[in-house]
Amino acid sequence: MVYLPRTRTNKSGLLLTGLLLSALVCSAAGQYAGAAEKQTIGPVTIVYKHFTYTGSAFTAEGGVTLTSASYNLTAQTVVVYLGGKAGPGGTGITKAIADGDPATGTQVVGNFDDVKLGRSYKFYADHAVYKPDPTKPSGGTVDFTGNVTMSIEAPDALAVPSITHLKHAVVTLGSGPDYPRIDGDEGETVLTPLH
Amino acid sequence: MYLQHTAARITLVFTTLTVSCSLACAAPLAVHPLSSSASAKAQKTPGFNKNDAGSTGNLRVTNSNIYATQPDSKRPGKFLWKIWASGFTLLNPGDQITVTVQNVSALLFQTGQAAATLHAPLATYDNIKHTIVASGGVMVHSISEPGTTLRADNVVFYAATGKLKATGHVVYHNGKTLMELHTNELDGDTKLKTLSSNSGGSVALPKGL
Repeated sequence: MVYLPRTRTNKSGLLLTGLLLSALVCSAAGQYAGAAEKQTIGPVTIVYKHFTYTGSAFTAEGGVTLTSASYNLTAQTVVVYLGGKAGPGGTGITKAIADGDPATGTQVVGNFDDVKLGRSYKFYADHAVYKPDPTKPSGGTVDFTGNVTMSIEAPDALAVPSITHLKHAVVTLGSGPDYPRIDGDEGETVLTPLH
Repeated sequence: MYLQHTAARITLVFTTLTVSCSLACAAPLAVHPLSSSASAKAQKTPGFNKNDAGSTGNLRVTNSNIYATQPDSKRPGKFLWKIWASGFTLLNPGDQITVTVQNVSALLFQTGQAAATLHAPLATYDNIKHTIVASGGVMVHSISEPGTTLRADNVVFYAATGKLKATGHVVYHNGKTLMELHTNELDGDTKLKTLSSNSGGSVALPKGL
């Protein structure tokens, strides 16, 4: 299966991005049909400089890199809350909050790559919150707020990466061809189709 | 300082130690030799003079198989630690007593409660700093947090505060979250429930995002 972004917005500009992208990548999608389903949840590794753990949450600071099966993220601070019933895989993450550094203007950067299609969806924001979807084992959302910029690299569909500025964006993670799904609110985008 | 043992020959040595240690020990230390073997002996260190043994405590005592406990002076009937070891060396330069033990198994307490077990090839107790410095590849198992362990080259147990400091190839594993932490230096409580590190490292969560 392949993973195409679905971009939704309440403004025509961003909606156009989604429609165009969907159309542009549609032909490329077919050739990957039937491929092994991508694992969108799994181990997460966090590299940090400073670390504190209190039993129900840990805080990683000083420049943090978080790598998961679904995406990777860099931030100044990441706070991960752990909880739920312990199972064979241990307790899960109930929430994770990432912040940039206002003093230096450093933002949270989230990368959602589709290696098979060679596409990259990158988000820059002041703040990001991850919440798992309790109804879907591999589902969850990453909510970006504060000076959000979305960059989509799709060499097979776009001549140059598209740049979209918006106030708020939500990336929905999950298994299947509809994920990751991107929902954005009011914004502007620049899109240059390849053909 | 209070000592319990059965070897008369050691009694004389520990009586001497009692005099010097009483100047520095806030709480008595109980040493219980598990073996009264003939190898137990007191040795003079270079420059030792029997006339000043009580004031300087310049002594070295060796023995094998000991069980030692450190009562908690703030909590009557409670302990700071208990140690089982095969072989020990006791040094008493001045007011300081340094006990070095091999093949150590220890029970560590935090606020009067048994909090963790510790296993190490070597450990040294310092009565001035109230520390146990374990080395040679140390394993700590939390009692209150089942399945939670700490492995490191060296671990220092601060008996007075119930804190631990692990250094060198530190690996922390949480039995509940299965979180695994790798770093070079880690501070924490004896229960392994609260941790901090400033030396950088990585955390792995098997049940990720």
